[in-house]
Amino acid sequence: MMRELIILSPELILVLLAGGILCLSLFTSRAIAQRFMPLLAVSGLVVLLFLVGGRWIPSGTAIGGSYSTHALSQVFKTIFILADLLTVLLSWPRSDQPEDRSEEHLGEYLALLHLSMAGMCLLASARDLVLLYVSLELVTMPLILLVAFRRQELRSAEAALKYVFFSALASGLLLYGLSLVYGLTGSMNIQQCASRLTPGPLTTLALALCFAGVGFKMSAAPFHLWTPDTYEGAPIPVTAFISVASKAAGFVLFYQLIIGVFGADPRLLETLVATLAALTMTIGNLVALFQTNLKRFLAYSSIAQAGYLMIGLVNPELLGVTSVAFYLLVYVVSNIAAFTVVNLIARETGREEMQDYVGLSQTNPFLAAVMMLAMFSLAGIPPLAGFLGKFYLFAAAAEKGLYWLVLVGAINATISLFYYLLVIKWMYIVKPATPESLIDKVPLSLPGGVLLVSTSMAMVLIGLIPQFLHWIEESVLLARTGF
Amino acid sequence: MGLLSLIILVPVVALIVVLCLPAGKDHFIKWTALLAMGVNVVLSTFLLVDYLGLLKTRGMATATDGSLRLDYVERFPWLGQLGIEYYVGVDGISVLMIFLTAVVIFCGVCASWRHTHRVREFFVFLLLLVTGVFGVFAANDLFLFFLFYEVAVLPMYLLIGLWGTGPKEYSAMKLTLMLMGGSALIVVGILVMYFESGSTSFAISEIARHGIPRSTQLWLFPLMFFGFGTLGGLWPFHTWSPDGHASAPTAVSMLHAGVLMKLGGYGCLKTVYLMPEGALFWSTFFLALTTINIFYGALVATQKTDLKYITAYSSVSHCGLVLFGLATLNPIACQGAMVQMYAHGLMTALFFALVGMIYGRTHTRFVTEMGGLLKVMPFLGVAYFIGGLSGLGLPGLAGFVAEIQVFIGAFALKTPWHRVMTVLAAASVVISAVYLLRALTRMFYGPLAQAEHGRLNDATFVEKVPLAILVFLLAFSGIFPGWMIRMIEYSMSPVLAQLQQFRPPPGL
Repeated sequence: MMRELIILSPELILVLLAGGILCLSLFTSRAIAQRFMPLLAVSGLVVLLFLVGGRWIPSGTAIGGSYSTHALSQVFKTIFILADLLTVLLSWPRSDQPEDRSEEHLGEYLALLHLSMAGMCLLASARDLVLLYVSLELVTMPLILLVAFRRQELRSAEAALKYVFFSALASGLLLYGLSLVYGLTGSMNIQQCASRLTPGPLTTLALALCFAGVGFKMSAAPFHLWTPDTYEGAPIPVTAFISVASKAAGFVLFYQLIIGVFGADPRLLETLVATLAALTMTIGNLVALFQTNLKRFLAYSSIAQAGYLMIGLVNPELLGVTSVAFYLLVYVVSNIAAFTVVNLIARETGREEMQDYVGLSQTNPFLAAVMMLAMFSLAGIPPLAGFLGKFYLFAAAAEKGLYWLVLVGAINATISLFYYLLVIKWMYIVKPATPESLIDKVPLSLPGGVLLVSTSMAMVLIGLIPQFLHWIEESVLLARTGF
Repeated sequence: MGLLSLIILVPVVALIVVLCLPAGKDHFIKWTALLAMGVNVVLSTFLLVDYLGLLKTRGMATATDGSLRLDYVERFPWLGQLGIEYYVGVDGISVLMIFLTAVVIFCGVCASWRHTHRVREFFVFLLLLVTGVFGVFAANDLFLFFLFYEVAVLPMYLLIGLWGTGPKEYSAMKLTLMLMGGSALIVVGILVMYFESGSTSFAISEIARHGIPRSTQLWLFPLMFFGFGTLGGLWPFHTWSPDGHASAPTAVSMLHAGVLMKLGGYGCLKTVYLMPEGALFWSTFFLALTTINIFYGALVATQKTDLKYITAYSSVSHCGLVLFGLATLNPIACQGAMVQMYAHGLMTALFFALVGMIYGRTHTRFVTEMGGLLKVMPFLGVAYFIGGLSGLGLPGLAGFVAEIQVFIGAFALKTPWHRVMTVLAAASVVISAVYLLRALTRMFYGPLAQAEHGRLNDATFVEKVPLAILVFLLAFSGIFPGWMIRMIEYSMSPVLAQLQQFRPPPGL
């Protein structure tokens, strides 16, 4: 019993954190709550990050075999927790304006964030179709509320509505797929399903239906249609969270469900995933070329990034899993860095169009530099981490002999460079028409500064020092041998 | 720490120092950059001299197998399971290129001494670029090579976009996207070579030892050659070069045409080394393309009146000669190609420095609006003449050593088709004489075109330093080319041995 509790502790701690934060917001005065809730969340998450990332929590099974952890799921959980931690820092309330309406209900906000996170961690460990589905819903439900968090704003409501419809559709399709799997195999246990499933038209149908659910989370084409509107309408920290953590959850779901259940027929999977990867990155990139709003721009860029990540999925072996996990880590850090800059500027000035950033390098050189680093990292330019990440993804596809996919990926990376450079062009090269069009110096709060510095350092260091890659590789190897 | 790591590290350290200097200390920033580059000139000269000494004790035996002759090797494992290593080591060709880079960047920093606009960022990006260039020439692991390659290419976007002139945003974007498109092909090539050869390391020598299947070489070779060729100015992917060089500020043009385009040629050499069968198969095709390169570049240059465009198109033509020499796969022509990289690097850097200085005085880049400048600025004029004469291959200057070898080597190819191409390529020397001499006489002889040009002054001391260095090296290497050729011959021999395994290179 005790051992099961310890094995389950990451999820339990997250739920407790959510509860604790709710209690704080209910039973203490507003001023105290505003100050201590984020502090509680951050300190809890930092502890958790070390516990999970350092593999202090033992691996094993719980809840009668429905739940099990190994080194690889710990890696994914670490990435989730890191994303959550950065998001909390990103949504830290401004101390100078305690009466700001947009920061109402901070307690509920943080609690929902942690519940969704608990769902993600469960997802990474579920070994049973029911638990998998329940944890997926636990991820999605709080996210819907979070997207609609600024309920006075039309944009936010519209975004949430779109998100609800699409996620309901995706869940429905997924559930249908799962029921087919159950019907075909008579089991809820993923391992048993995999061993009993035989190739056939029904299996292919089940795979397609399940893939719809996964594709929605990953925002892979053709299930990406919700992404731009939801990203644009949601509060920026929530957008950041969806774009990193929820997407990462999609990839974990792919490993758990698609590889776990349908992994017996790798040829079919390889073709499917390779085609969709090529489609996703091309669509994301081509549409991103024409975006002017930074949030929409980052939405399409995140679709393209999902496409690159899917390149790694064609290879379910050591190299493939390593490359996906590593790129997720890189992507979390780089994307949060970009969103931090967008958030700081939008919060101070309310401006989020690309051309608003004209001359940013002169008024806010530090912000502009971080944004530039983030853009280059997302574009995969050395010596930043995105370069190594992309190289590994391409290597994973090349190992399987899918050279055409590598070529498509590399050409797409060049196309994406065009629009990432556009942002840099506005910040560095274009001269402002009038002095009024410049953004004033944005004051930096402590959490904002911590975010900017830590993400920029991470973008440089993850790609240069071998420890991060080694940690992931070692974990994948450990997971293969059953730890 | 070894000498090569030190050479790579010096600009990085300078970069960090420049970043940390407080605002408003432009002078310190310039001195830091100059000092760092001065240190690198000393280090790379030491490397050169030391390497020559090494060769003397070792003798000049031709290689019997295709293993690279690397010295000053530093090697330790770096990243992950694929076997990515930090593996640097140089042969004679890279030593020469490192020396060229150090000299050109030193002169480039001198030439940008008058910069006042956003000095800190300028030098940060410049130093980043230089780190990349040194790294490429030193790297022997393909991942490391490619990493440095991109580090060298990308800062160009901001350097042109921020400090350039004319349609700079367009030029910068065009240049960056075309070059990055080229590197997209390269990354595919690197991965395919790694997995097809079955090597467990990205080291160039390891992959060459394992060998790549012939069927793969046949389709991969053109891909890689085009990838590197884009940066090397290969027709029809050269179009970024004139626009980019015309828009770029002086130091950046110097560095880009002088050194960066050599990365393309250097990469093509490595491609030939790694895929000898592909090279033999595609040789004639690329000879045709590069002939167009040489001929077309020179022809267009005769039609331009903007000095920067003339220089840029002459670069396309001269860099075409590098690739032409390589594509012949003939030992003498390949050596000539390497000498041409060096000679063209010095010459182009000299040209762009001069164009910058003359433009800074006359405020026009159009040949038609200048005249009689030799009376006003004799130093600049004489330097321009020497550069121009090297460009048209006057004996006694470095350009001659290169061109004569390339053409002699190319004439060894005996089919009529090859003869035609060689004759066409050689004819471009005459066209070069047309555009170079015409521009020179127009600008420097005759009466003053505009009265106010009479009040202009000659080069200042800071400007004379880089010009003098470049002119000296051009003449020195032209009169005493032996040391250079020895280094190249010694290092080229493994490449030729690779080719020899499959079929004697044409014309032997």
